[in-house]
Amino acid sequence: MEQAYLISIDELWLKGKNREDYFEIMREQLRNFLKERDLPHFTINNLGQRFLLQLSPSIEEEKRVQLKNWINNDLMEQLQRLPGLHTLTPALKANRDLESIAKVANTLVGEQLPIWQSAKLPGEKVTFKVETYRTDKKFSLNSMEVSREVGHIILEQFDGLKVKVTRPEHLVEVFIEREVVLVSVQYFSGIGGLPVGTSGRGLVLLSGGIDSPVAAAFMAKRGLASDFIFFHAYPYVGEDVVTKIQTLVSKLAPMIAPAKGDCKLYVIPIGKIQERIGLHCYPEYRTVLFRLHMMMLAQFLAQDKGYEALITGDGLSQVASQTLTNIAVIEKYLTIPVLRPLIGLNKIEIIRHAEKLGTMPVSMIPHVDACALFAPKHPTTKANRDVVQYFFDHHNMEQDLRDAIKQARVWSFNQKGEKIKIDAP
Amino acid sequence: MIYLDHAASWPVFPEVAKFLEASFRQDFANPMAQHRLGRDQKEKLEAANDFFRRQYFGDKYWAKGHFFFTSSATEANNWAIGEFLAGAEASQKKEIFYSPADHASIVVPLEMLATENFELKIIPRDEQGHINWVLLQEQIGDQTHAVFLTHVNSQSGQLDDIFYCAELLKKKNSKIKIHIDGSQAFARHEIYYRPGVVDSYTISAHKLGGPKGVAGIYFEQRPERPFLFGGGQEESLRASTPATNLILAFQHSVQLLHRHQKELLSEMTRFNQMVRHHFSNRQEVEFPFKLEETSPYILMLVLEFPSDVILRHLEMEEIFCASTSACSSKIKDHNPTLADLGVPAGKHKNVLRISFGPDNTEPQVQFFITTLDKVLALLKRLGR
Repeated sequence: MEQAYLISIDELWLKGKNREDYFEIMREQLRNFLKERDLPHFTINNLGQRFLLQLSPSIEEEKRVQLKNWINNDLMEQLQRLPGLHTLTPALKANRDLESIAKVANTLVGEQLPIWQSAKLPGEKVTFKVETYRTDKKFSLNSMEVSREVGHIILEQFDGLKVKVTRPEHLVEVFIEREVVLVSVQYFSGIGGLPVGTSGRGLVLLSGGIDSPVAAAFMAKRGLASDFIFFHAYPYVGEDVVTKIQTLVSKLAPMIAPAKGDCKLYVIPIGKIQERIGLHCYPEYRTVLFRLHMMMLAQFLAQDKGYEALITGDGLSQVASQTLTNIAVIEKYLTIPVLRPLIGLNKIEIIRHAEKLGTMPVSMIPHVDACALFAPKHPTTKANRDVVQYFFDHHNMEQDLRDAIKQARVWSFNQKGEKIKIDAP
Repeated sequence: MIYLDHAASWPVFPEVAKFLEASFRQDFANPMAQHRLGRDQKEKLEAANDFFRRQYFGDKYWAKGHFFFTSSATEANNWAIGEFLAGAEASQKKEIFYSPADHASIVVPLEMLATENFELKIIPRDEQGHINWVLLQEQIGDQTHAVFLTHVNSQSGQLDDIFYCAELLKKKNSKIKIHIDGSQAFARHEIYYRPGVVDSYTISAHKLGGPKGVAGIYFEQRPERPFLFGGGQEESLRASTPATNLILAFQHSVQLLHRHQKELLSEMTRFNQMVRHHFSNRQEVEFPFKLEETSPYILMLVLEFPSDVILRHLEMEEIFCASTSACSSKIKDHNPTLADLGVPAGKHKNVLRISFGPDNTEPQVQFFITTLDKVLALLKRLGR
């Protein structure tokens, strides 16, 4: 029995006249996604609102078996993180008759039943229902009839099952399309949202911690194509942290790179700027002034490169630089929109997202933080605007910031997370 | 550029680089070849081998042992370990003495090979991190099979009268095998060779102005089993086409160095003292090892700040040194080498090593001192 995959798109129903465009962008990204993974083996067909993914008929049987496991595990998991996809449904093909549909359904249920039963008490029945979607109106039975018949045959075959029409534990789905007839018993939820790139371009401030990668993923889910900026406090910190940041970007690249084929990481040397600030301000103002200068530098880069927003992993009052007072003081000096998708999340919620995203283990790798040397014992949580302005009046750092951008090292990451070094901006 | 990381690798002497260039053109034939070109090469190699053996491990006319060229000091150390440990497998449980402060090419294979046949014992040190030779001599008994020593420690620069000490150990049990890693000492310090005291001694070219890719080992007894199998090179014990050019360049650099050994030692001592003297009254700089106990080529400082931060500040001023020895710098925070040398755990990340060489000058050392001063002052201001 031949494997096929149904993929549905999220939020297409929200779109009006541009629905076709979204559909096309999604299809293009899906195609590149598969091509990038050295899988020219697929054909993608449009089924109205859905894609039908099939291994192309030219692939030999042996290779098919090999690919099946890989697709069901690795590829499905990766696709689940591609923004814009609603559900991924692995299915088996059936012939265009009831007998064949029932046979395929029985095979699938037979495979899954032990797993379903393992979650139940002994003797307790597993509840299910058959749901049929019939776009091919020429098929002799209507969807209700198909569901009833197939459900009946399944019940005859297996003991431990019981039909439940409202809220069954499991769904046996039958798709009777014009092109193909499919049966499936499980599906995976995608990350949803919008195809990446359809909401513009942003610049994510990565720190190496837990939050900023999650913020990047949240915005990618809303269709934003981002590049990354990291502030490297050389000579106060070494190269290890750059390696860590690169690993983080390579984890995020599969979801963000599909927009334009790659995503970039700018590593900006900031140590000497921090040093200058550190030597000339009140120690308790270091944190907020470092932060402010980083944001200003990111804004300069954004203006040069056409990014429409900065993205940070700020959570309200999480640390000293993220109090409302300090956020407000910093924003006074910025003209670009700053998106803070995690502003209302608790730390534990962010951690859960990071775990799901797969960035958590990387974020947990210890790295030497420049702030260890610079960090004031009591950073201010309520920075005074006049004090900050006084610093600005006496220490104009704009040229230093622009010079630092010129010294940036830049890497480009493709969809597979592989990096190459590219020329400085 | 001010290069103060000679313990990791020396710049190749300009004379040696020139020599190599010519040698690559002339000395191309395979020394195993039957024709005249090959025979000439073989003769040169034999002369080089004799040079190392006689000059350092015997008197000028007589040498008892066997000398082999290897591709690295790591290979040489591995070979000695393989040879000596294999010789003991059949008999009952044996003790091996070693120092975690030694080079990884000794520590790693020993810890890997320690099976039920061997018990690894750590060479006792006093609180200052010096080998306690009296205690070690006491601990050596009939069960002891081998002792692995280092002539000059690459991190601390500690220098012992290693041949004298080895003799003490042999007096306790003449059957023990003694291996010495001389990578940081050979041709810079005297080798007081006496027959019957040391069973093997490792030397390396790239730490004395020669090229990388060549090193050597002296065995007093002919090794019993081959290390590399293949053609009949090196008495059939280490098959491999000899790296003729590198070997000859190695010899060349040792000859150059040998001529200036004494002047160099006094010059390095002067550099070493300059640094020690300048920082002697400063709280934020400590010198855990005295000049008298160390090779003047290597100077270890313990600072008040993480040494990697200082290393990068110095590198911005084109000064290059080491924060921990190059081979173990991947280990964060806790460093077994430093622990063994008696450096308190909290200070492992504050260890800076500078190591001098013939290319250094007094103004360079002075510039290093001034720059380090500035960096320490800067960090102190920031750390307020």
